[in-house]
Amino acid sequence: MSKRFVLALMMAAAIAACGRADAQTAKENSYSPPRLSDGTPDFRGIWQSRTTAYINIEGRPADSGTGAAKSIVVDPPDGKIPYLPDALKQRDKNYRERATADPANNCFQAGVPRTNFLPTPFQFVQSVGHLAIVYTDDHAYRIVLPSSIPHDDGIDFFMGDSRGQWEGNTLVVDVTDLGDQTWLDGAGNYHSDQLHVVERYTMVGPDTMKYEATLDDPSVYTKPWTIRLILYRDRSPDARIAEDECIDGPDGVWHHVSPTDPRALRRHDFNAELEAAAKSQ
Amino acid sequence: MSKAWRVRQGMICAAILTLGLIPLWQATGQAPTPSAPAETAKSDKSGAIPRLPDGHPDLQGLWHNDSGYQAMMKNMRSGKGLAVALGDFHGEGFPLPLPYLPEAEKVRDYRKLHDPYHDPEAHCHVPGVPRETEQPSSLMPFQIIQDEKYVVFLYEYVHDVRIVPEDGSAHPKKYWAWDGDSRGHWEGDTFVVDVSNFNGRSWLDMEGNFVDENEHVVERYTMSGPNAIDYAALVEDPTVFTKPWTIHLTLTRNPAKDQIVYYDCHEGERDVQHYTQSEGNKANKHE
Amino acid sequence: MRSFLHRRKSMNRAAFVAVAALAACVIAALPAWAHHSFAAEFDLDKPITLHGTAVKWEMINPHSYLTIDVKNDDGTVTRWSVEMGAPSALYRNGWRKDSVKVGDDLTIDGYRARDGSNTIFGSQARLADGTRVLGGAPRNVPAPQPPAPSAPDKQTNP
Repeated sequence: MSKRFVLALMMAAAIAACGRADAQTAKENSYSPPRLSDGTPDFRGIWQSRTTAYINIEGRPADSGTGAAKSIVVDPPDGKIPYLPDALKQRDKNYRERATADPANNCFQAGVPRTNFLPTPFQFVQSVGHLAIVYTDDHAYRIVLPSSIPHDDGIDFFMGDSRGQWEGNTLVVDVTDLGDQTWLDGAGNYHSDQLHVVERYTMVGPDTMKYEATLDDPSVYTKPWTIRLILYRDRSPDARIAEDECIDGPDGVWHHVSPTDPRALRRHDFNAELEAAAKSQ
Repeated sequence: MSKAWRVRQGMICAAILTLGLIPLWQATGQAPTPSAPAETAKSDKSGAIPRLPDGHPDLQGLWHNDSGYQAMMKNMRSGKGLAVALGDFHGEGFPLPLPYLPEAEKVRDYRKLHDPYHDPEAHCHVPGVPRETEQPSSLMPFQIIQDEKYVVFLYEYVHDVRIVPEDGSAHPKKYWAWDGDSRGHWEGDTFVVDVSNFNGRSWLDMEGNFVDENEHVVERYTMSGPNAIDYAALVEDPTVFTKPWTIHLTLTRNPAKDQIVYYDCHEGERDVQHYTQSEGNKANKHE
Repeated sequence: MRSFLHRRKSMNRAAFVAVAALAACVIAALPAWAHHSFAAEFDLDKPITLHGTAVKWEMINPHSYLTIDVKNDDGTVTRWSVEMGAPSALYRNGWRKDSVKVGDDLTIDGYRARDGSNTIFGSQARLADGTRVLGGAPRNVPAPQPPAPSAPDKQTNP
C-alpha cells in the first residue's frame, strides 16, 4: 500500500472516530426531555445514583466485597480534591477517625452534594413555579427557590440554601449557607462554612440525568473542583420515598429505623407502662 | 415569676394589644425576610379559588394553622399570663377532652405529669398526623406543592415531609412509620388523605395526649377562598379512644414574601442533662 | 391597608415605643417551638436577669446557646449557659451567626433551669450595640402542676 493510501485511511478513520464522538456528545447534549406546560424540563420522579462515591469521592481500590471505584472528580483531571496543605492533613485525620467522626453517624442530614449520591433514592417534586427535592435519608428536603430571591444570610442549614434557574435544558442550582457540620463522603472529605456549590442537572436520556457539582471553598481548597455522575430514574410502580427516622439506641449509637422493619412497630401495652411507672414513683 | 407578676404582665400585654391588631412584621419593621404568620390574612373567602390546569384546586403555597395561632393570641389577650398563654395551643377545633378509654386515660395522665422525656418531639422525631398540622404549624409554616401525581407537604418543623400520591392507592402491609402512610384522592374540590400504618410512637401534643399503632386518620383539605383551607381530620384509634373524634381548623396562607427557614432540629442536643429526672426518664432512659 | 400605612407614617416616637412593646409582648410569647416541654427543664417562677460578657455564641439546633461570664458582687466570675430557640426561629427574630462576638457586653432576661445549674432559658437579650432581640421563648408551658397527689384536672379548652 502506498503511504498516501495509508494516510488517507488513517485520516478517514480519524474523521469517522471524531464524527462518532461528536455524535455521542451531541446526542447527550441534545436530548430533549418532556416538559412542563411552561416549557421547563420535567424532572419529576424518583432518582438514585448507582456509584459508591458515598464511600469515597476520590474512588477506592478493590476492597473485600466491592470492586474498584473511580474518582467522580472530573476537574482537576487527576481526580484528586485540590486541598490546601493543612486541609489535606485534616482530611487524612478525618479519614483515620471516620468510623466515629463521620457526622452521618449521628444521623445528621448529609448536606450537598453528598445527599445526591447516597445509596437511597430521592424525588424531584416539580410544578410550574415550584421545585423541591425530597430525600429518603433523614427525610431531608431542599426547596429550590428562584435565583431572583437572594440567599438567606447569616444562618447555616445542613442542606444549605438553594436558588435555581434554567439554562436551556440544565437546572443550575446555587447553594450556600451549608455550615461546616457535614462531610462530602464517608472518607473524611470535608468543607468549611465558606463552601459554595453550583450544581447542574441535565437529562441525557429518558431516565438518566447527568449531575455535576462545582465546589468552591477558599479556606479548604486551592481552587474550585467539579464532580460528575449519572442519576437513574426508577419507574417501578412501587417506588416511593420511605420514611427515614433515627433513634438513639441503648448502645449509645444512632440507628436509622426502617419503616419496613417489624421492630419499628411499638405495640401499645398500657399495663406494662403503668406498672413501670408505679415502680419508679 | 409570681402569679401577680404574671397577671400584671398579661394585663399590660392585653392593654397594648387593645390598641389594635398590627401585623407583626409591620409592627417590628422587620426586614423582608421570613416573618411571623400574618394576623390579618384571615380566612379570605373573597374571590374564586385558584385552579390547576387539571381542574383541581391549587393548594400550592405556604400555609400555617391559623386556628392554633389565634388561640395563642386569645390566651395572651385574656390576661392569663405568660405561663398559661404559652400553654395548650389547641384551638377551638380540637375537641378536648379527648374520649379516652379508661386505661388509656391513665397512661395519658402519667405521660403528661411524669414523662415528658418520651414525647417523640423531644427527640426531633416527626410529629405524626395530625399533630404536625395542628401543633407546630401554628407558627412554623409548611409548603404544599402539587405535581399532578402527588400532593407534597413540606413542613418547616423538623423538615418533616409527606409525599401523598393522588391515586388513592392501597396502603402497604408491612410499613410502620411515625408519620404513617398517606394515600390521597380528590372528592370534588376536597383533597382527602387516608393515613394509617403508624408505628405507635406518636403523641398528639406535649401534654401526654397520644395515639398508638392503631391510629387511623382521614384528612380533608378544602379551600374556602384563595387564602384559606378548611382542614378537618377524623381520628380514630379503637385501643385508645371510645369513639372517633374530629379536628377542624383553618389553614391560612402566609404572606407572599415568607419562605421556609429550615429547622434542622437534630444537631446538638444538650437538654437531656438538664432535665428534671422525670419518673418516666428514670424508668426508661431510652426512647 | 391604605389607612394603616397612613397611620404608620404619622406615628410619633412614643407610639413607636408602644408598638415595639406590643411586638415584644407578642413576640416574647411566640415560641421558637421548643422540641420538648419547657416546664420539664426551666422554672417560670424563677426569672433572672444576667449582665455578662459573651464567651461563645452557638447558633445551633435544636436550641442555640450563648455562654457568658457574669461578674458577681464579690468579684468572682460565674459562667452561665443561656439556652435559646432554634436558628430558624431566632433568624426570624433578627438573630444572625455574627450577632454576638466574643467579648460583647450583654444583658439577658430569662428563666432558671430547674436542676440548679447555671443555665437559663433566654427570653430576651440586649446586645452590645443596644438592640433588643428576643430569644424565641419556648412553645409550650403546661399549666402549673397540681399541688398534692390528686387526680389531675381534665383538660378543657380555654
